[in-house]
Amino acid sequence: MFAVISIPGFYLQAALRYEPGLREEAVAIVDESAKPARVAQYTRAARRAGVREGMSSTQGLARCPALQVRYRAPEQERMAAAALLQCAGGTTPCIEATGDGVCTMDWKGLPAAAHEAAARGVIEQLRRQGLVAKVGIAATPPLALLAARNARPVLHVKSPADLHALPISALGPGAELLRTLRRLGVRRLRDFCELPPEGIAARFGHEGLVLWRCVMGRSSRLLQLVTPPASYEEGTEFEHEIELLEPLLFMLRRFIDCLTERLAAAYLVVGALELRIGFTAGPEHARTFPVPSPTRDGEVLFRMIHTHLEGFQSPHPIKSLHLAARACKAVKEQLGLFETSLRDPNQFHETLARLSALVGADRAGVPVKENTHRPDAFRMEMPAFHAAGSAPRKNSTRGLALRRFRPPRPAHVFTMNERPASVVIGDFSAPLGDAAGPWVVSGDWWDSHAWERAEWEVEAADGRMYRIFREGEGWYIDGIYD
Amino acid sequence: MPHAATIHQLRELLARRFPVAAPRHGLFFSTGVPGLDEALGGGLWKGTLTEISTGVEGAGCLTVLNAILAASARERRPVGLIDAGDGFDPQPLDEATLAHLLWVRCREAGQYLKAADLLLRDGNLPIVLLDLRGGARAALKRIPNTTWYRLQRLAGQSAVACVVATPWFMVSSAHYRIQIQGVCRVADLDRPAEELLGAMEYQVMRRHGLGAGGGIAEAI
Repeated sequence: MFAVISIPGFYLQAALRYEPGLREEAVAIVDESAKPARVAQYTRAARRAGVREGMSSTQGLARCPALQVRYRAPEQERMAAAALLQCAGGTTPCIEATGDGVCTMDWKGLPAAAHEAAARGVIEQLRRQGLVAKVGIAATPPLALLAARNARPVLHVKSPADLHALPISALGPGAELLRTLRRLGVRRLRDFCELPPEGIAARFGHEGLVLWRCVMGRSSRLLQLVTPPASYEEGTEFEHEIELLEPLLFMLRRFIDCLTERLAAAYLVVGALELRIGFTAGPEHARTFPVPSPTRDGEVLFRMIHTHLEGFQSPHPIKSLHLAARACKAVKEQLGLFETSLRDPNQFHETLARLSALVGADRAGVPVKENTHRPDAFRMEMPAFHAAGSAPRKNSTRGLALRRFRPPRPAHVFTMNERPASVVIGDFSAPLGDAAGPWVVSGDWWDSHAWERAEWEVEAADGRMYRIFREGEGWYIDGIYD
Repeated sequence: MPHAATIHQLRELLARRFPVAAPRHGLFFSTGVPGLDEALGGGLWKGTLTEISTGVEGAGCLTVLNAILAASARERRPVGLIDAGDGFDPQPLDEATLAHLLWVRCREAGQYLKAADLLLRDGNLPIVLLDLRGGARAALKRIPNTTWYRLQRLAGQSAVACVVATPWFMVSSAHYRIQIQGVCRVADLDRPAEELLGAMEYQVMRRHGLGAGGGIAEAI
């Protein structure tokens, strides 16, 4: 059994995919590749106003002054075609890209009872991606295509006789053949099928024979199988440039919904999002958003981009927008009942982004000690708590913790018998009591960044303890023990 | 990863349904300091603000925070440290402990409260330490009481145990106020931190709404 998905008015649907409100208005798609450019497809409102296929845009506007003329968008057609194949690929691996907006599927392994449900599922998936589709199911690919073109929205042809009530024009014969058939009184497919088979080829030629065999369910062919594209991308070039955040977010939300639907059909999740924003002038803005816990949750994905764009500014208006999803398989992890983990890694990632925006990108993260003895040498890294490794066994620290002054505060230290005796910081002077040291540390002696310092732990008269050090000719207070 | 929230919910549901069978230690986190755990009635209670302070600077407040970090890392539990004065020193702690720490180094007054708001609202880190002892005193004095009540409410909603280390008692909504008293000399700086922490006194200055019967369990 074969099924064909047909997207009527494919060019129009692809162009208006992200602007569903325009479907109710008079819109015509002009094919620029035709010389001269002609109206290729149009909405119902445009048809009611008298717009027809093959007109020039000027003729269309003369018939319908409110007509909105759009040009074919090959990029959006490519994305819509990819969405169609990916949806089809969710039901069977045997799919064929039959034409623009037409996909044929071989449902050999699918139980007959599930055919109609599968067809409705595909239609619903495509509807959520802004594409209105119809599905025809029949024993042969040509018959399924005929059924798809005349489906509302699903037509299951169990026998060729189910289509006999259709008008003969539904077959899509050439103009000359159609005239011949009508002259002979052949109005419906039933009339065509009742003609004696012996004379079909002689009367109607090869074209008539092909159509007759199709209607009778006697023609079949091998599908030219294709693999659904592995890229998941949505994008558009705006007719009118965008200057505000709201319309941009509106469009991004649609993109994310479409992408998650496409990924759902392939049982995949989003591992990272790649955003590209093109401007009327200057280079485009590109940003990759890794998803810490791969997901298809549109809310989570949208929030990540929203947080980024809230703080984004550009001097130029936006003319194009592209969003691509890096697909990956969902991570399945069995946690122990008492194993601790982040409750919502994606939420945490977003919080981390907010913290970085608040205090600076290099001031929120996990401290990692540098491989040196230089005091206070560390770098900040992004947290990866799930990969934090083994847990420490016990608290092995010694003494009180040091609360550092960053940078160390310069001070005057007076010594007696080569030991610190009093300290002066600005106008403040204090005698020092007990002291331990000096602890001489040094490093990098082999290059120009050589350093050397002598540290002392000293106790002030009020009982507070400090770490002070001498570097070169100067004394500094490193911190207070707390 | 997506099942983590479900497991958390399951644990809390079990604790509510079977309060007798549920281990009490499920409601709080150990600080790693036996004396402090005893003063707090078990440890840092989830969903509460605990304020720790010392009479004088240098009495061991930061050492207690380090002990909490080490204890949490032993349980493989991530901790957030909001450092108002950017004074935390990671050098004495081992890599495994630091790997469980999210350190937020604030440089301006007010950043630490916004950071605390974000982390408590987020709720992913079970323990959040807010170290205000290095912050500018003038800015600390300007923090309105309503801020502390808001943070307390956020901690309650997300079941996060929040510890606020302050130069003087200022957290009006704190469930616990602990005064740390200890005297250390230069010679003590070479002793193990556990010994020093064990020698300190932890005096409970306030205990709000945390009855021994597990009132906190109902709150959670």
